[in-house]
Amino acid sequence: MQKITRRTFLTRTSVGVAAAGAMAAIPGASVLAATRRRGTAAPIASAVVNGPPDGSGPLVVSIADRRSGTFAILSGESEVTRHDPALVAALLRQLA
Amino acid sequence: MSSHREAPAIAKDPVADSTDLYAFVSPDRPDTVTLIANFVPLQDPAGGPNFFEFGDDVLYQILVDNDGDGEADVWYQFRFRTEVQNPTTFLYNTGPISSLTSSTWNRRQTYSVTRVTAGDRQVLAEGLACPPCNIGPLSTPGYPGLAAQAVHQLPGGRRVFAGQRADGFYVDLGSVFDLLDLRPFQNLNIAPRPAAAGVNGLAGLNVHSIALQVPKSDLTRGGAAGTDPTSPASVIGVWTTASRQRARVWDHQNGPNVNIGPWVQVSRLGNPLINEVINPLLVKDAWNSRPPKTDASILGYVEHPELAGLLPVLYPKVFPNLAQVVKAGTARADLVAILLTGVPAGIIKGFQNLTGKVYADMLRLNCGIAPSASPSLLGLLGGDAAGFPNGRRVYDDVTTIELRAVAGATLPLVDPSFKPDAAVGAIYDAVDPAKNTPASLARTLGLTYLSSFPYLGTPYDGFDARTSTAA
Repeated sequence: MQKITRRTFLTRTSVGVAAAGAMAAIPGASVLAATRRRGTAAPIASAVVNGPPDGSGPLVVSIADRRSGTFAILSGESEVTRHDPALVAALLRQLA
Repeated sequence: MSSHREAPAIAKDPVADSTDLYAFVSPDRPDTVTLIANFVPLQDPAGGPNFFEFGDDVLYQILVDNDGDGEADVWYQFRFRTEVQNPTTFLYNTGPISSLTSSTWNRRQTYSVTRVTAGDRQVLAEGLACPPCNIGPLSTPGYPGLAAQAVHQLPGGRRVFAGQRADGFYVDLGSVFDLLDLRPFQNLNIAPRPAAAGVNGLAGLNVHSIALQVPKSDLTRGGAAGTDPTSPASVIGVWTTASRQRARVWDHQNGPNVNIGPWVQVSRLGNPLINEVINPLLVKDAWNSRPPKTDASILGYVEHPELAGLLPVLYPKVFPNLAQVVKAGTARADLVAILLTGVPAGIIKGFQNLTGKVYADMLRLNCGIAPSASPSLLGLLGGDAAGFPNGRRVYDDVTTIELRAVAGATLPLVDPSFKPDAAVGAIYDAVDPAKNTPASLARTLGLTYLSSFPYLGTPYDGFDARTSTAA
């Protein structure tokens, strides 16, 4: 990797910085990006933080009260509530 | 920020923490209303390397009730999306950022704006760019012009901006929450010390703002023109919320998380300081999760504010008349009107902002009252009907207004026999509103506002942020 020095950085800039502190735009790609980029060139979304709203992503099953047999299924931006004591019992047996 | 870190849960979630809400007839475009909702409080401008941003996993909303039932009739929804141009560097920017499309700007956000009414959902725009944070003269030169690029014109005469701004709220934060030891009056405190000038505890700090400017008819009942101040149709109630999805699953191997399920409200703000100093700790988190139409549940706290009982104790012999009211257990109908229902016509000459009988914490704006040519920081208390509690402008001294109201300044509106204590007309915390105007705040507090959208000032930059110089 090319060593970043003040000279290599400033050669690409118009850093006769005006007294007001304004700085002209660097023409073209920045030196730092050109020298350090490796791997993916296309922009990427940051860490995925939302499951697909269409429900094609992960599911979460929430059992708030183990004795009631009621549970909620969360998917996408939706939630449905069901009552199935046998299913709840079967799920709880997985924890044993 | 009149509602920053105001509840235990939201204090740990700054990205979803609503801090201030403003609603006012735009002074330079009086046929429009400007709504501003701020989030992400107490931003140190030098807060790199990961500068402040909105949450991609948060649903931000500005809601409007125009028929007085405490329920939204118009929703504006904002969703954000972050992109990283070069994931192999740690840098937010790899060179000066001269435009919103600069290749040197590595981590950037865009957003969508959706307008929802009963039976209709319209995406007003997608992929709108936020400006970068104001880092410093090398990274973000000419910042005012750069931020101005992020003011987007939308169809229908609308404008929108979402990004970092200077926090326009001013309060002597350190003194208010040091047992209300107001510096200019601490010689009268139960633990007296020499009086001193108030300070702005938020000086030099930034916030993230969602600002929206729309025609009045976008907001009013039946699309009314909103020009008649005597018409109930000119009055709207406004609040803002932030919501998160019900479940979050952390990927312990790769780092990111996935959010699943319906949206759950985690933050709410209408009038300033409600959840800050009116609601007790017991209810703050729950209140943040509920809609305004449920606010009959906090009626007691408004009728008998804790703050009204504290003032005579902390300032002995300064508030004797207020002390009598508190001792008598008198319900503060004046505060209920200001904060939960609006003020009906006939109480204050030339003013009304009543939304109805439903108790609901909303900023109530009478769109028919024109902007003031000579605004008073004290708003309606200062004889300026265009200011708080008629909506809220960016420079209204809401801390002093509410302090004086709680201390009894507004009680004569419902009880003409009550005489407010002399101190009521004198107390303030950060700045003396009698000696200041919105323009003079630049000199006295270092606060500047813009005369046009988005009205909040240029954010402070990190390079010149408040620091101590090495000897």
